[in-house]
Amino acid sequence: MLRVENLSVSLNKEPILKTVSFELHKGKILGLIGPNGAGKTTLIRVINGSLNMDQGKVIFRKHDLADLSVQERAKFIATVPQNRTIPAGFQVRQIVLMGRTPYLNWFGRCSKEDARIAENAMRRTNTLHLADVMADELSGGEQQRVILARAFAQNTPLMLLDEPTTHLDIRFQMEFLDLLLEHVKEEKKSVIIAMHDLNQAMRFCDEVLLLSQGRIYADGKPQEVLTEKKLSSVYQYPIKITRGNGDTPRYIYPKL
Amino acid sequence: MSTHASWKWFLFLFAGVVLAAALSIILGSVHIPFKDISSIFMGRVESGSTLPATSNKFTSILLDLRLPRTILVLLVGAALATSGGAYQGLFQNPLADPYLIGVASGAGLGSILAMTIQWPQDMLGYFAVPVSAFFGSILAVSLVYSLSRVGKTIHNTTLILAGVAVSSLSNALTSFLLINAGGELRRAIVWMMGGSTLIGWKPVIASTPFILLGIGLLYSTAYQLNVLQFGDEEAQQMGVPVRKVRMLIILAASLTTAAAVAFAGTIAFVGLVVPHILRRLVGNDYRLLLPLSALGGAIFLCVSDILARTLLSPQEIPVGVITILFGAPFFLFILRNTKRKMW
Repeated sequence: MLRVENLSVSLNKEPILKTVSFELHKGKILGLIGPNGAGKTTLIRVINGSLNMDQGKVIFRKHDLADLSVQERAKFIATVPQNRTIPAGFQVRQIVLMGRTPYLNWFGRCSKEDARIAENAMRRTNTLHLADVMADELSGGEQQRVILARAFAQNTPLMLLDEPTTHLDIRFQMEFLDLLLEHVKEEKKSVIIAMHDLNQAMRFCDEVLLLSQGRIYADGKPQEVLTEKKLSSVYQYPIKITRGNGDTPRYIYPKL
Repeated sequence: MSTHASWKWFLFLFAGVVLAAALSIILGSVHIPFKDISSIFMGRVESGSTLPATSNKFTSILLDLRLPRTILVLLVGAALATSGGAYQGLFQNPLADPYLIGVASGAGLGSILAMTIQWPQDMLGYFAVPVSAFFGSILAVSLVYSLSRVGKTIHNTTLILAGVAVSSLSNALTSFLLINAGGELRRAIVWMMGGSTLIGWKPVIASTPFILLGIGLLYSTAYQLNVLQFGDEEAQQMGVPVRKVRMLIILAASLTTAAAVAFAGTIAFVGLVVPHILRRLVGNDYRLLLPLSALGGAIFLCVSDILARTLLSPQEIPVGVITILFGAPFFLFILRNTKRKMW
């Protein structure tokens, strides 16, 4: 469904991604992991069209994304960005409705159907009771759920999330990821999610892509990629994994 | 904001506009008894020009001086407040005011240039002034934009600094033109202080279509401005064609400012004070904020103009002086409070 071919990107003439290729199928969650500066955010920003690529292609459902208009692309891809910026003076409902923008006319006129979709998105993200509250007055965890609701309302087959749980406490992290998981499995969406927490990657992702210095170091099922040897080599720090029942890795931690 | 509550605001501010306009027509350095005012307006409506000869002077003061001036002031106030609100959204900067970011001074230079080449006499000459002001404002805003841009971001203070620099440059060039302007010098200097000394109906007719077009275009972008508050990158991911929208808002806001400045001079702070107060009251939805700003701006400038005409009557204070007396302390207040911001 999503195919990234030979992608190379540089920022200020500095190569950030080097010949990255992978595929993502419908209904799968792909975790992007790797040290700081490995190129996770850059990869997300190239796929959603915020950055230009030097070479390569991003193909989604047989469309080359470079050929799509901003509006068409926004019907395919929704992004939950890394830096949460909620502008002041808007109610939660207004912000979630903005997810409908690619389907609205120039004046942003919403139909009943749009309102229903936004309401549904708020219900799923547990923010419906906040609908009339000013969004910038909410806590970090609530704001992040509002942005997730906005992305749900955008109703795209592909969702990109850039470290969505950073800055959230454990409960909000788990709530957030559970909500996401439930939604994408139900709606058969494809998701790319950049994350730092390797245990969460192991638990929530169908596939994992381990980036190192702009290249794919390893990709595949979490238990294939998340090994002591690979992680220790990429993160340049000894990493241990305790094994749980059977042969599945259970807990990843830096060696003490 | 519910639809119900927003209607209340519209009605409230609209009533304010009507009241301010009525006061502006009633009050002035020449006292006109209320019954004469009503008979002049009623007489016009009912029986054309069959008025007693004694009220001819009053008729001319009301219909040829106060009425067009009131209309011009209402339109200019609406234009400045709307474009101010739009600039603030565009630059995501609570301090962006057509005057502070140099657009008004650029427009002023443009209009003085047109007036210097040929002091407007026929209607075509009048229309040339806002058009020339528009080119001046576009030049100014492009200059400020490119000066204050570092990479993809525009820093709040840098924008204002660049605006001040461009303002000073435009004002210097305007002064230079005025020195060579001969007989019209005094009128033009009062104009520069925001005195709206160009009287009669022609300035109103010449600027109204541009102001209405500009305000209309700005309203049309209100929803896009809402989404743009998330920043360019996120807005684009939500399907907003950011470059196109930004360009349109700059053109429309500059047109609106230019048409306002063309015959009313550079009036500062209307575009800062009015949207700022309204943001606190109704939130940041530009679909509500821009039209309410237009009404609020009309009230603010009309009341300032009444004060300008009556405080030292029969001596007239330039209305720009009054708005600065209100606006400058307000500006400092916002500057101090940008930490707990309404953004």
